[in-house]
Amino acid sequence: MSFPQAGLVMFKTVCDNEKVEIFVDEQCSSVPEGVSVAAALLLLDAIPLRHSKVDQSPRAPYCLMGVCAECLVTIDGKPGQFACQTVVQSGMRIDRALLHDGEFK
Amino acid sequence: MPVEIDSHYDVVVIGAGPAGMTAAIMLSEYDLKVAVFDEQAEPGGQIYRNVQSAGNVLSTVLGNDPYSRITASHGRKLVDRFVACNASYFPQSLVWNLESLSCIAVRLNNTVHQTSARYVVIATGAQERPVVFAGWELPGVMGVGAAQIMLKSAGALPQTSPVLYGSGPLLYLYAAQIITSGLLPAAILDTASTRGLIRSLKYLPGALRAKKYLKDGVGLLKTVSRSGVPNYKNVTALNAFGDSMLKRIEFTSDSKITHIETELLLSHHGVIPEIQLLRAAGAESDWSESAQCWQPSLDKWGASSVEGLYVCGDGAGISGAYSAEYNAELASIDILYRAGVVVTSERDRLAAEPRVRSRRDKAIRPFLESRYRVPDELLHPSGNTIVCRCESVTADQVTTAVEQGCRGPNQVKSFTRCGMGACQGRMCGPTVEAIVSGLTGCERSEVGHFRARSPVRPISLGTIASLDPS
Repeated sequence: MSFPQAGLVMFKTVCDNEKVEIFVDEQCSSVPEGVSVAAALLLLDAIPLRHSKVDQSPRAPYCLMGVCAECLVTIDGKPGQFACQTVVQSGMRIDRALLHDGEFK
Repeated sequence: MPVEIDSHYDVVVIGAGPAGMTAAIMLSEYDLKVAVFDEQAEPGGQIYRNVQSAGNVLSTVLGNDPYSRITASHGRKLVDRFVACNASYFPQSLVWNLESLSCIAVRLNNTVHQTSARYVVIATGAQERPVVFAGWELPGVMGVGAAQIMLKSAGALPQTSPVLYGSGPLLYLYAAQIITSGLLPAAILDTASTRGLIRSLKYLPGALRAKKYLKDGVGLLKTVSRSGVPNYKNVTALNAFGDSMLKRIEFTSDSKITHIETELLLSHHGVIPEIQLLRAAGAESDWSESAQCWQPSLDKWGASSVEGLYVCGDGAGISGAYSAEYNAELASIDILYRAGVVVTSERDRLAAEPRVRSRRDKAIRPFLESRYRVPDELLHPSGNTIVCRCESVTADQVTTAVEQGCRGPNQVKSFTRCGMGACQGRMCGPTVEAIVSGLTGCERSEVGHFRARSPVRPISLGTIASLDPS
């Protein structure tokens, strides 16, 4: 499964971890167990993670260690969560903070 | 694992990397009541991230890299001892308030808990030094540290050959790790100046006391040079271009302009202590010109200017994972002494070995600091280069604010919103300070830094409201 707005797959995993299913923008996706939500989104090529609320530019995780705040997404209905500090759980629902037709949903 | 956070501990340790784990092990051995709060789901910090379950990653990706194997084996032993110790360990917990030792606020499972302690050990480690350039906010530009976390936590390698930009040991370590895994970087753009190389030579004799690091470093550089990856030197003036994603970079190397098409640029310019909690607690920090960062003001045990508050590990000043353990032992020994658990003679006997080890281990630092010193021109961006990613504030806007009379980072913040976003100034602070210093002619130590206030990590009002008023 891929995300149409993405340009390329930035990272690929070479490990054979068990998989869990998560929902990214309501699409069911299979990702390695135990990774962070940010890592999962990068592996799925679900980039960008958000658009800047200030200038609408697309953004992706920069630091992956809880510093840059570029990976803030909505997780199970709670907005503004650090994707890099949250471990994926089976059935987790992740919504990216993306613009649709120039507006945030 | 305990479920409830108690209202009081002898010692609260913040962070479960090598420093935090070492302090917790030692203090709980002497029967002090210790709590460890850490943001990650597993102990280990960044260096030993995922080390318990990394057998998979190690055998598939890093099995042939001796450095990674030794680091992982050392880390696994430390994590095992930490897991077995009597300290109460709270993974995925977030300390967002440290106004005083009697008022520590922790978020755990979306609820806020308050606790207090006689002693607090801050072991929150480091962050990558943010060095900004045009286009660094584009998807496709990341920290080398981030790429290494992908490797350690998800066994993930870049799909395309990345360009590595910057300098420092981690840059070459990551390059060597992916080369060993069969992926060649498209290019390495080394920003360390020839001047820095020459300057560093005078520290080489001192660095020989920490031979292991020199040997490891030479090994990494050999792996990289043997691979034939183009290694550009004296790189400046990097610009990244792209629309929705990175497409192309342009840079100057030895006065020659070069273009490379790439979809992944990994940037690294060393690491700096993460000291927001320390600042929020009102403890003092000093500007280090040699390390080009703020460091907590500490005595020889790691005690800060706030009574009972200690700092160890990279958060006390960058010195690496082994020094983190030695410094944590020294801080723990002083806590045991002040708590009346050991007497003066016992304290000094216990401290003798870690002090010698710490001194020897740190002998490499002056060499590394000068060898990989970030050239001044990289720290002073201009034009519409974004300085503050959260609020999209440009270098020009910061410059204008200073020209209009802002004398320090906090005034720039009020004028421009630079530093008011969710990263709380962690990504733009050093650049704002450098710009103010450059334009006003004031030393960095006089320019100061953003104030850090509680909450020192972004936390929702709803979560704060969950605090039991009693």
